[in-house]
Amino acid sequence: MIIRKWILLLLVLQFLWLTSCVEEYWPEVDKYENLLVVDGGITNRPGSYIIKISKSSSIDSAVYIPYQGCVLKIMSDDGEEEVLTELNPGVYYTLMGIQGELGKSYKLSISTPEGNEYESSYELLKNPVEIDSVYAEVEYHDNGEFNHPLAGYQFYIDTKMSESDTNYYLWQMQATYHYQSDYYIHWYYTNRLYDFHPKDSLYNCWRTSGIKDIYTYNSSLIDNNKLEHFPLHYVNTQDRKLTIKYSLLVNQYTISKNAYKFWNAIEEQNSEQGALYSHQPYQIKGNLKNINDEEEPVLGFFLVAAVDSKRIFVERIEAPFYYSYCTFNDGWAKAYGDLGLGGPFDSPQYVVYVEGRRGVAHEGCVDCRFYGGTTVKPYFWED
Amino acid sequence: MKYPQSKKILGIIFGFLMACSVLMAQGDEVIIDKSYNNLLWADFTKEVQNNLGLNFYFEDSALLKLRVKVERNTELKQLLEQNLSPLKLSFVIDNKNVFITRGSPVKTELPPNFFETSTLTPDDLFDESKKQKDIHEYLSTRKALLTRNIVVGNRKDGAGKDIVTVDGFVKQTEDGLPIIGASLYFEELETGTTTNEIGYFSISMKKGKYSLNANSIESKEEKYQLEVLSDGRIELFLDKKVYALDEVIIRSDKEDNVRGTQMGFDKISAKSIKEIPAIMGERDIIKVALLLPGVQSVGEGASGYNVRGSPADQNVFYLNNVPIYNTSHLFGFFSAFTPDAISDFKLYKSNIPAKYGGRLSSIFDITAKEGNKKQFSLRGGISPITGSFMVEGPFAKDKSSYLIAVRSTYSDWVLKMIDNYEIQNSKASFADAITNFSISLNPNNQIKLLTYFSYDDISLVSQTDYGYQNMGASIGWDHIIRNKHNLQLTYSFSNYGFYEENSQIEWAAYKNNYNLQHNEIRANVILRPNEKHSISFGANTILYNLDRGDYVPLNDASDVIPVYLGKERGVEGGIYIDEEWTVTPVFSLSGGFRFNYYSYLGPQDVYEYIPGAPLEIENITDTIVYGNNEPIKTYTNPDFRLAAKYIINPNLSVKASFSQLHQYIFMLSNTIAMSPTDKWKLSDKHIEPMRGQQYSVGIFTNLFKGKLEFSAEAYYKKVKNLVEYKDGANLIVSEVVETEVLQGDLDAYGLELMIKKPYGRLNGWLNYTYSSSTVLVKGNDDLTSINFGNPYPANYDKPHAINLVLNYRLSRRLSFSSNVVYSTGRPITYPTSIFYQDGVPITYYSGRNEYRLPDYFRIDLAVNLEGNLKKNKLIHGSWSFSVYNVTGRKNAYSVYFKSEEGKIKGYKLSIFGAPIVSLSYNFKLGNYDN
Repeated sequence: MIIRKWILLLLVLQFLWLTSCVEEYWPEVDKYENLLVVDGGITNRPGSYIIKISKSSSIDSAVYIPYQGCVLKIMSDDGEEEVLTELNPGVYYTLMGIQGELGKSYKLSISTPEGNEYESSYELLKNPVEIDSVYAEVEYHDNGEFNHPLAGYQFYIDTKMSESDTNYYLWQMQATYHYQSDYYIHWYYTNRLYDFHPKDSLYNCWRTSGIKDIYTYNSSLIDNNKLEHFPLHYVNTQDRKLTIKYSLLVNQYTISKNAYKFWNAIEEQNSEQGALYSHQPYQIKGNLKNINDEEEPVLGFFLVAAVDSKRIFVERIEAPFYYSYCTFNDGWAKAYGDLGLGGPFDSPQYVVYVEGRRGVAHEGCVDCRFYGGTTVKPYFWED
Repeated sequence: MKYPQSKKILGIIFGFLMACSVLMAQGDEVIIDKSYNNLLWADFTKEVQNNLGLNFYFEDSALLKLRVKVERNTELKQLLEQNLSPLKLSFVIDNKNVFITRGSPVKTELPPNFFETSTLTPDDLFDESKKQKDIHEYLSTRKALLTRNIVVGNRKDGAGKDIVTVDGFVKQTEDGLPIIGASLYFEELETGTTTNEIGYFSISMKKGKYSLNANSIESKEEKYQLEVLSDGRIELFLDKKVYALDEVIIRSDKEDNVRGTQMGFDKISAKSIKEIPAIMGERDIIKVALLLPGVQSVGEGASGYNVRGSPADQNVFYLNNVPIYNTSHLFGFFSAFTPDAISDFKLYKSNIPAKYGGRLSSIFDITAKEGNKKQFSLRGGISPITGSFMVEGPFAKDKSSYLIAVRSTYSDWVLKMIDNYEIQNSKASFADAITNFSISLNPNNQIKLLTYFSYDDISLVSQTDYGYQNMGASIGWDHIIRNKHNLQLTYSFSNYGFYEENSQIEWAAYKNNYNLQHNEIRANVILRPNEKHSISFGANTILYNLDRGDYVPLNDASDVIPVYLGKERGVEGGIYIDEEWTVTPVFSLSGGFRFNYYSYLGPQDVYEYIPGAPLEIENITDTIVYGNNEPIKTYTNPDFRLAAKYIINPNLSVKASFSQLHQYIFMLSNTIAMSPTDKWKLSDKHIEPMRGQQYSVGIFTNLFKGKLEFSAEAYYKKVKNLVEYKDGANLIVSEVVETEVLQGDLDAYGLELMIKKPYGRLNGWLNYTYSSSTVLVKGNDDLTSINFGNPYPANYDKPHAINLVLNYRLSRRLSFSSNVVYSTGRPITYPTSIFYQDGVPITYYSGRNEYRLPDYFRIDLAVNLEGNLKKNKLIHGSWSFSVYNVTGRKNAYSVYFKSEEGKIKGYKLSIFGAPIVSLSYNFKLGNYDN
């Protein structure tokens, strides 16, 4: 945002005989790679809790590097503890049934195969705060790819505030949406034509994905004990998400100040690019350290939080959509005519039947799983 | 050379251009060997002066309108008689001098060998003169012009006194304006003095005869023989240097490099920078500071100056005592001062005089030009982005003058013509204006009045609006006490405010504003008990009224939670004394003491925190409500200044100084460059004032008979209680500032080498600075530390800097100039690695300022062409063609990173990525010279 502002100012000045320019540039940076990263925590909900351990990767090739073979232990301030089990590479689970209790503090210790010992500070599990409501409103937001604003749902949250002390919130969201492919499949062809039954078995899909945006809030900014109309996720008509039905699960975490600082920093740095008048970027401090080397940066956060959740469903938005979709055309018909000439095919060729014509469609037009969803309706889905 | 023959005389004003003499002197007879028709008196005298060295002394306005008709081979005496007697003027030709007076002729003859054998004392001369009233008046006011031999006072008054005081004014012959910083050197005393802001000087000495040399940057040197009989006042008139423009680029005040008492000091006059290439042809005297050693900025186009490793908020800009809180236009591309109205600025970067307090790093003391006291004048200019205009002239001739200067962009007009929606709906306009009035009530009392205004209005695609403005005024009274001492009383007012409206994101559209008011009263007394001491003392008081502003939703569609940051008030005062003591002619000491008093005043609600705990919201225990003007917290701190100078030989001196200062106001800025939305904040109950200490030593030498000046200065500076922002602090809506900032230490040191060639066809300077500036904020834990308590380089830390400024004057009309600038790139925090949280890639950054941008390098060129040198013309114009960044090097202003399609890409932003060519035109009434 800020960059855009500056580039625009410079553009303006350029017409006043100023010239500026932006060009790709890659400085030599190689520090802070292969650092230990912690991702996960404990809540007041029953486990199993998952903690992922990884290593930081270089800036120019962002890859997830799981850290295998560590020994992780969650401890409470009253002596309860559990050692986690690595079920997948770098993913550690609690299997013995430890559960976060309100008012208690928890910490995580890690020892790596190399013999390094890491430890978090004790984090207090605060009381959860109940969400009043989550709701969506139709809004038109500007979009870089289009010259006009696009319609979409803006989700808002109303929530109570704890009256006893400062509230720090973290919201994480998960979206699930129902969408459809463009055509039924009537037949499929491998070395000959088969009937495809039922025709809509690859037509309806549900896709669930985490929302990458991070939302935090710090209640010290307001006086009343209620947060209202706080904007969370926004989803627009640029793809199929809003074509049938959309659901958003909002997890409201009541977190410590340290955790708030961490997640708020991540929220800020994710949304901001360092340019002329932007804020200075900085190292985000987590709550872990190497017990033998305090200088070593340890990334990530061991989150201890109480959680309250709310799910909301919204129907298809009544507005124009701007996603690309398939339409039957002569090419499809021709491909159908050519089926006998080619083959046998490694993968099935899907044949659609539209207004009395047959044609071969690309799988993306007929197999909804192509867009990452599954044909299994989630258990929570309400039609 | 052929002299043009014309009805209207086209005078070539400079005698040296006239190859053949048109005048001939034969004994006492002066014969003019040329015929002229309707020659203006002034031109006539100039020709005579230039060609035969005859000096004309006159003060009668009737002469200005006189036109002289000269027949070939006319005798001068005869000519004068013809022309002057109708005006009832008399004249006397005395060797090389022609005196013209109303009424009886001046007696010019002094006894022969006057100085060796004083059989006839000057008293006699004056006694005799008294009989002739007209003459007496003339003599008493224009003694200096009458003769280069000046008698001060008389025997009677001086009887019984050994030490007497000589005071007076040094003025310009041409327009009667005071000459500031003129130096007066008494050869027998081996010492001297300089004139102050109103051209006034005062010095004590034994009665006797002295040889006095008087000169200044702008003027020719004059020599006088002084016979001092008692206390008395003299008035010296110095002629403008004919080649002033190319002779002096930059000179320290107080005489020069070696003899001056100041160190860490620079003075730049508007005239001297006329030729230096400027961005887009926009003359900018303040930006020239960046070419001086020890002065840096974060990047080009950034406002704010970093002097000797200090942050930008440790400088103050005074324009005739009016503090200007934002000195830049368009976020920093240009300085907010109408170039025509600025005479010069002085930059104190180490030994700041005790009369200034409140800023740790430097004082930019900018002097507005005083209006011409002789005649009306007008000038203006047009550059690719602005037009400017200035008028000046006398209210009452020789006494009072006015000057009004304005400048404005016409960029809006340009933007509207561009066929682009975004550009057409953008705006980048600014303007500024200065008026300066000078009123001389009588020789002992002067009133000065200055007003200043500047504003910026920037709008980007009607989505982001910035507006900011400065308003200021000062009124000053200069009073001379008993012909010796000086009293200066000033009241000044300054107001800075901004607003910002941002509607880029509908639901987050906000309005943000700020206002700061500064009211100041200042009294300064300069005492000169004798020639070895100069004492100044005084007091000042500042009342700050800050409105920290509101951060509120812009419209109903916005969900911004309004935050009202409230107002704050503080009073800062100081009493001080400064003394300069010339212990021996080669050794001098100066010392200053300033006692600062600062009080943070109510009404205000102030939080109390758990004792010993970090200042965090959750540690608040209580709110204390303070009433109107109730002192909340008071700080009293002593400031010290100490300096010594030892002259090893006339061309070599060493100097050393120490100073301690305190600062009670600071800038809330978490951004890399100073931005218009940064807010000043007062020290309060929880945020302590900053303390700065600086030690410096220097060696100063003149080489090749003063053709080259060399200096080397080293400094070490320590700032305590520097205010730095916690990582991620939200500064716009931070209601409780003390929870968002931490106080730490700044350590800076450096070495500045400067070599100057002040005079000649080729002049300029070359300097090299090595510097280091490091910040350390280390508390008990990470919450009270920055960068984990490790030291980090300040944002503007640039270890190596080289500046070269060269001017070459090919002829009187054509000159070339060039800048070459190199510096280490500024520190930057880079993203260094990626880690994942909940499947989201997060960027991990380096330690604060752990990396550096690529080095900075730039060459600028300018060609200046003056209009013709004709004497009589309505308007003189000059063209300036400049190329900024000739090599087109894409110097990095910033490097930033964006995530595109899941991959991080780095970009380098260059503000001036190509050569910038511009042409500007300036004009003024009259000819080249005036």
